[in-house]
Amino acid sequence: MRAALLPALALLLAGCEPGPVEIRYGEDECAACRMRITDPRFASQLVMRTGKAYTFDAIECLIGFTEREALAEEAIHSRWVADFAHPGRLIDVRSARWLHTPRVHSPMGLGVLAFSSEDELAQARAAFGGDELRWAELPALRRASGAQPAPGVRPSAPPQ
Amino acid sequence: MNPRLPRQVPLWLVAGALFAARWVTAAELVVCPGCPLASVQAAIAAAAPGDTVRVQAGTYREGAIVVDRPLTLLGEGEPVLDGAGQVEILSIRASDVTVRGFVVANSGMSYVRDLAGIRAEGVTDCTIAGNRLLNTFFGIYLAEVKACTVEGNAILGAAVAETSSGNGIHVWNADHVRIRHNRVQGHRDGIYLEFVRKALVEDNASERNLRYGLHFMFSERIEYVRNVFRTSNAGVAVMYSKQITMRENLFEDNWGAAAYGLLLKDIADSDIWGNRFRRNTTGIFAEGANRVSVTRNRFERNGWALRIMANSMGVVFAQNTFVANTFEVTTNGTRSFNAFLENYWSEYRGYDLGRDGIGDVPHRPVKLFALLVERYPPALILLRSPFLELLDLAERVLPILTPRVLADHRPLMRSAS
Repeated sequence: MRAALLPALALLLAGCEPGPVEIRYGEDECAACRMRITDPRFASQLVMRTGKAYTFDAIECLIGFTEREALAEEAIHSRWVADFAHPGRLIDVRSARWLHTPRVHSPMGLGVLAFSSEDELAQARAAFGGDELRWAELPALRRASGAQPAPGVRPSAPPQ
Repeated sequence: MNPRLPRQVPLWLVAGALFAARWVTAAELVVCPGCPLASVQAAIAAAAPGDTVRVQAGTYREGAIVVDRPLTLLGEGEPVLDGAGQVEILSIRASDVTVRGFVVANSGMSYVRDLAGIRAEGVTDCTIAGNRLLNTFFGIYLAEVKACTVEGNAILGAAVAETSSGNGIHVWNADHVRIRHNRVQGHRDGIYLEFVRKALVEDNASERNLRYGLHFMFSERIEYVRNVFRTSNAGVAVMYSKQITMRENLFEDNWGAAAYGLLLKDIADSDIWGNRFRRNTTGIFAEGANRVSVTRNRFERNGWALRIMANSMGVVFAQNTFVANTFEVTTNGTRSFNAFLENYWSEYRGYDLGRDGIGDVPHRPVKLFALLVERYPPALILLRSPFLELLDLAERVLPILTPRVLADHRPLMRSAS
């Protein structure tokens, strides 16, 4: 009896492993900028160890939110971002490849696209131009762009 | 006096004569099905700068039409430019172009490119007026333009899902834009302004759009006046912008789980004057609003008239009228750096013994229950519970949880607007 209970309990706990939750496009609000999330090419999600998920309209809002709320790395379970080549599909940022291109207007204006495959990134790069970059470079890019003025208001410099 | 003045007169005459000469030499080309010129694109190719191309009634399925020289394109009898669901229909790539009187229908839709009914890119002095855009992905799209006017167009989208729908009038990185007398519906945002400096948005009607009626991102020095924003997720969203004047607009029936009449997010130095907010879930929601004056507006039958988050500072509410809102004001902190003065509150229970029109006791518009709901939204189910009314009364007599400073010390006995 007890022997049967243990695997059942293990299963139950396994079911508690946090993961991304479905983004309801057109209904969910960005946790950082409050904009309604409508574009399935750019959304992102922050999943906490507690299972709580914060959804954002763009990756720069996820980064800005993490900085603003000073979230500890050990409290974060995972980060997810929409695959530009497959709108609506979320990929783990640890396996994502990044393209920065001013030719594509993302919801917050930073123009960072995420891909799951090198080929698809290359295709997009051929179409729009831009530079491939690493996840670790995104926070600095976001700060430098001035297109993500949080908190406070920054003058609206035209994006280059 | 200036002795050089008489010598300038002939110069003006010469300039005038040159202008007249150009006007006289400007030719007119006529396009119609069956005419020698049967295609709009062919007529553009045959036209000289400054010419007028008159396009007569008929349906023109030419794929993507490019205007590459200064021209006036004039539709007579509502000719239809049909994109057959494939392409961007009309692209303006030269300055001094006017497009008037067309029906622009059925653009392509793309996840990768913002295909539009009419696009103007990298030009100055364009006028897009009196057209009807039907079933386009983006309606009118202005990118990197100066001094363009979008006037008297009807932009009717068929959007059902926000993810597969573009904006009605989309302006990106532009200076001196005028958007007047347009009707926009069935798009993602009715009017979208990103990186726009100096614009006038007046007398438009933006309704039944899936997200916002009018949406500002990173813009400044913009005035929007006498527009109607109805039945969208938010009538207007002003985000990361400054020096925005919002005057005499109607925000109506923006109703839903996270719906607002006016959503302010990180804005500064702005003016909200003489607007009406009627039957919205939230009249004005403000987060990170700084130095904003809210004067002589009327809030009627909203769920929340005002939700002012505690990170807003220097917002002054004066001479407004609050009538029959479920909640007048709520906030998310116990401090407030904003001022309320001489507003009319239909919830005010005070008296005016001095008969000077000003209530003798302050009005505290934040109910205890409103604070509870702000912290824990499902508590809303307890609305109208007698016990909560009792709590509210107790809190009113002896405020402990509600922000003590958030009070109107000169509440009006009669409505000011």
